[in-house]
Amino acid sequence: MKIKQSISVPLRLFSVIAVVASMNLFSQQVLKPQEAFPIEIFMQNNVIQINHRIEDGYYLYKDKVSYKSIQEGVVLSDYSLPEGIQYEDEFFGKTEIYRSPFSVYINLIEGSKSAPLKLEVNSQGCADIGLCYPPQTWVIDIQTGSNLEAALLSDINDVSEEARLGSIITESNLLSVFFVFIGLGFLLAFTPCHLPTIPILSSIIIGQKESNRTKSFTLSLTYVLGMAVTYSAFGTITALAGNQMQALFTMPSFIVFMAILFVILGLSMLGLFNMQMPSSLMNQANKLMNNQKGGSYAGVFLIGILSAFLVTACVAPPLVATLIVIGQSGDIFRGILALTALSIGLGIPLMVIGLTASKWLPTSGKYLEVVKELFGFIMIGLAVWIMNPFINQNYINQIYLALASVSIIYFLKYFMSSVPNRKLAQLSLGFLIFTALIFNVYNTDANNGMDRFSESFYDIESSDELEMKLKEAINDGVPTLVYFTADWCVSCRGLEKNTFSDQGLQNKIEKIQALKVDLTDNSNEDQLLIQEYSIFGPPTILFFNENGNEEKSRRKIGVVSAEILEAEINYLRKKT
Amino acid sequence: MKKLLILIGLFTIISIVVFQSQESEVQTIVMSDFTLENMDGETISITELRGKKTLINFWATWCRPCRKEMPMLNSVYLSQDPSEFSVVGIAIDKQDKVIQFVAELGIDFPIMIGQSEAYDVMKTLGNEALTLPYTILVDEKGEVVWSKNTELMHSDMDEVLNLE
Repeated sequence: MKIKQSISVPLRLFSVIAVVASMNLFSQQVLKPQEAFPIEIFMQNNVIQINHRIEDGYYLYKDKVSYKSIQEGVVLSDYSLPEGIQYEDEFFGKTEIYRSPFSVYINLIEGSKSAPLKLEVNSQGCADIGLCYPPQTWVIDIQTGSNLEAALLSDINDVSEEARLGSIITESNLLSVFFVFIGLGFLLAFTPCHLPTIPILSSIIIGQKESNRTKSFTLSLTYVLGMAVTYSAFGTITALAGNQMQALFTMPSFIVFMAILFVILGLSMLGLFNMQMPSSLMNQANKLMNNQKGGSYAGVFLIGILSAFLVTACVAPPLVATLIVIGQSGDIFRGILALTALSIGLGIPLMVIGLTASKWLPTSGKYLEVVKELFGFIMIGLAVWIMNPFINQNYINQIYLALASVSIIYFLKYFMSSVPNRKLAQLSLGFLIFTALIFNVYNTDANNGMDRFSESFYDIESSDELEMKLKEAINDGVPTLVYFTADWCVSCRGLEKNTFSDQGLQNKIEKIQALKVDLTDNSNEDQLLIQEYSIFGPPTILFFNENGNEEKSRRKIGVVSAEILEAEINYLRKKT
Repeated sequence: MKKLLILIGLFTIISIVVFQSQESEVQTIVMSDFTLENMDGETISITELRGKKTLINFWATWCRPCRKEMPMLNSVYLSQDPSEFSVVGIAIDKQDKVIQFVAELGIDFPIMIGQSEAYDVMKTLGNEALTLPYTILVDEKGEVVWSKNTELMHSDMDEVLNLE
């Protein structure tokens, strides 16, 4: 009987999921054109191979399939299309269609040496259930010089990643939504933006008084649950309220608060509070920290909640997709399911740490002391890391350097017999933190290192100004790129340092109108822009064609590579 | 471990039960105002259609299923009292092709012509894949009460005409 009971829980859970999933089967599912007719292009030894796949129940018209080069100097050979199936109807007469995959080969007679090869593919198809797709034009980049390089850009380009993920949330069955988003969350966990959670959790585990595997795991699970609850709840609330999520979560004051918390946690791990501190506030904080270190689940849960606020700043396509689903379609249930799955996925590495902590972390003795102190320094380093957006890059490096030196001096005490060194090290550490805090939020020269990048972008202050600039671009017949950023946006710094610094991309950007909207102040004008263009938070890049219309499917959210942005700019310029 | 699994399971069940009710709510789409050109090139606002039931059919000349359902739509248009029920076609195509097509088939109901903006309208009305034909029934208040994204059948017309 007992066994039966323990099985029934998962069974019941499964049946609930099955019932909910089946409810969705009644709506008519229609594939998007790129799903119904996927195209793959390979090139080897100057032979371009185009593979068309066709889903069951869909077909392409042979006379509507065509290819052409859209680049100067590129010459393609004639090609022949394979024979199709005869198809006849009363209105249009006889024609040929394709129902199964087919390939077409084209010789590259003359290729362009510098630019990547592009091919325009035209096709039009229908489905047996009685519908047709409008004629489709895909522009696909092929990498020359590399053998068997597949370019699936048509798939990537035609629908934005958020829209694709959004359709997974609204259209797939619930189980697959759940697992897909766990997977996405797991991948996101390794982005720099989410990394701070790992040392935070490790510190908690090290800080506990008695240490065993179950305790470590339950602690990390509590932490992950704290994150998941916040992530889901606040994600839903902000999406429903239509607010800009990040502005709420990453207010500079919150970052500063977290930085101070980390410093206190770090200092407490260094045993600094064992010295006589005059401030009773510090003692209170110490008590709080000690409770959490002792493994108080409520405290760990709280730190989980705070950490979630910290990492919600990491705007990434899966997160935005769920917010869009919740905010626009009102499908709260599926949105929450996706958000919860996403946060569980994010928590997997943390739970692995919890499970294995007893293996690689010392549980007692002198080594525990050393590891604890090491994590104390890491926590302080983390405080500097999250303050990164507010501190001038030049100082950041110096602070890290100083922190590293202090920690080295500090650990030298283990090689020296005299105890007073310890006090000295602690004093220098205190000095270091004091210095770090001086370069705070109000440091206005935060972007000194980005001169080259900021030169090519024109700063937009208001919605009217943006409209004016777009009108200018229409007159000049050039497309426009609009980059939404903010000082507190960690991902934006990554984007600027790694993507916008690319020389090739810079050259491309100079040929179009590049605008930048700084959302740091979160002023009324900023809010207006956010609402008008449905921005979920920086970094977001919008593309407007030469007619001043936004190509919404090409919108980029989060960190993207220079190659992708170049491809988008190429696409926009080709259209003109 | 077992406890934790049960905890996760309970969490999922609770969230499913709590939000299941949300899912069953039907969201009504109200047709927003938009303007298109008629075949003579005059601008027509969709709000002019308010006050009666209107069957709006998105189509194109190259679309076989669209062509197939045209005669049926035309007979529905002719059979109904124009002050209570109307049929409007929105062609996403070139003007000259549309004019030729309409003449060829002898379509009596009003036809409007649009390009990319018509696709945008279709998207807001729930046709994400932008396929044709797409047919919606809009009631007196401008609310979309019925839609179909595949070729219309006689049974569909019966359903539409009997909708209250």
